[in-house]
Amino acid sequence: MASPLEQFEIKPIVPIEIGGLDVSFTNSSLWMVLAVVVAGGTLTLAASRGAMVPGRLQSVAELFYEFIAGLIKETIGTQGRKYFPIIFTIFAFVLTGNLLGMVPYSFTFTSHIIVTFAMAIVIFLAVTVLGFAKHGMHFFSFFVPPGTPLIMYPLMIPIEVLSYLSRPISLAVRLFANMMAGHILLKVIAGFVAAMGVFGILPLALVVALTGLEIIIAFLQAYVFTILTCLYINDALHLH
Amino acid sequence: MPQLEQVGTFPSQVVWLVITFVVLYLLLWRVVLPRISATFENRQGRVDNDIARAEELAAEAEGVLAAYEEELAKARTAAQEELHKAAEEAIAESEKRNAALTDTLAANADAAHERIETARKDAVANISGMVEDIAKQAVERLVDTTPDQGTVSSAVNTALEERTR
Repeated sequence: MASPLEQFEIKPIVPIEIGGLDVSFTNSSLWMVLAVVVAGGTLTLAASRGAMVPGRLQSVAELFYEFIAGLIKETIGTQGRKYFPIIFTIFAFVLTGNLLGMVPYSFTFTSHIIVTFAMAIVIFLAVTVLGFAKHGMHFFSFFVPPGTPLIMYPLMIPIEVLSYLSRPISLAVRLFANMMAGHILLKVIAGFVAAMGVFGILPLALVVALTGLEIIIAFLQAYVFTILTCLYINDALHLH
Repeated sequence: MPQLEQVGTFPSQVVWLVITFVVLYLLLWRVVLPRISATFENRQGRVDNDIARAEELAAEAEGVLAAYEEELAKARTAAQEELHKAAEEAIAESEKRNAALTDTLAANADAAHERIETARKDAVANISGMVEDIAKQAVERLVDTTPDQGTVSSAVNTALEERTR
C-alpha cells in the first residue's frame, strides 16, 4: 500500500533551471496556478456583472468582500482599509489552495511548510518594517507590556521578543500542520476501507464525515491565517 | 516526510508561490476589488437616489393633498354661501308674496265691507219708505189722524238707526 505521505511528494512537470537553481514547474506549481485561475477567474466573473441585485456568484464574491472588510474593521479599524487588497488576496489564495486540496488526486500546496513559511516570513518582515516605519525606535516599546514593573524587565523583554520572533513559525506551522494532518488522516482511514472488506463501510462513512470536517478546516485555517495577519498589522500600527 | 526531505524543491516552490501570489494580488487589487466596491457604491447610490425620489414624491403628494383639501374647503364654503343665498332669496320671495297676498286679501275684504255697507244702506233706505207707510197707516188706524210726513220720517229713521246698528 502506498504511504499516506506519498500525496505530499513534489513531482516536476516541466524541469526549469535558472542560474543553477532548480525552479521546475511541479505539481505544486500547477495547483498554485490553478488556485489563481479558479479564485481569480471566479471572482473576476462574479465582480464584472456588477448587477444591482446580485446573482448567486456575485453574492458569494460580495459576501467574501464584506467578510474580509468586516474582519479588517474589527481587528485593525478604519486604518486597515489600505491593507484590504493584500489581506483579501492572502485569504483567497490560502482558502482556494486548501479547498482545491480537497479534490481527489489533487495536490495541497498549503500542506508544505516551505510554502506556508514563505508566506508567514514575508508577512512577519513586512509587519515589522511597517511597525518601525510607523513608530521608529519607539516600536521597541512593543516588547514591554504596559504596566510591567521595572524589576520584571529582564524577564519580560526576552519573553516578548521570543514570542514575537516565533510568530512566523507558529503562523506557518499552524496552517501546514492542519493541512498535512487532515490529508494523512483521510488517506489512512481511506486505506482501511479496502483492507476491511465488507466492514469497510464503517471507515468509508468516517471518511465521508472527515471530508466534511476537512472542508470546514480548510475555511477555518484560511480564516485563522488571515485574522492573525490582521492582528499582526494591528500590533504594528497601534503597538499594544 | 516529503515536506522536509525534498529540500531541493524549496526554491521552485517559493518562486512559483511568489509568481502565482503576485498575479492573484494584481488581479484582485486592480480588477476584482474595485469592481465589487464600485458595485456596492452604485447600489448605495441607487438606494439613496430612490429614497430621495420617494421622499420627493411623498412631499409632492402631500402638496397635492393639501391643495385638494383647500379646494374642497373652498368649494364647500362656496356651496354654503350659495345655499344661504338661495334660502334668503326664497324667504324674501315668500315674504313678498305673503305681503302681496295679505294686501290683496285686505283689499278684497275692504271691498266686501263696502259692498255690505252699501247693501245695508240700500236695504235701510228701501225699508224706511215701506216702514214710513206702515207707520202712517198704523197711526191712521189707531188714532185716525194723518201724521205729519216729516215727523214720521224722522221717527222711523231714528228707530231704524237704532235697530240696524
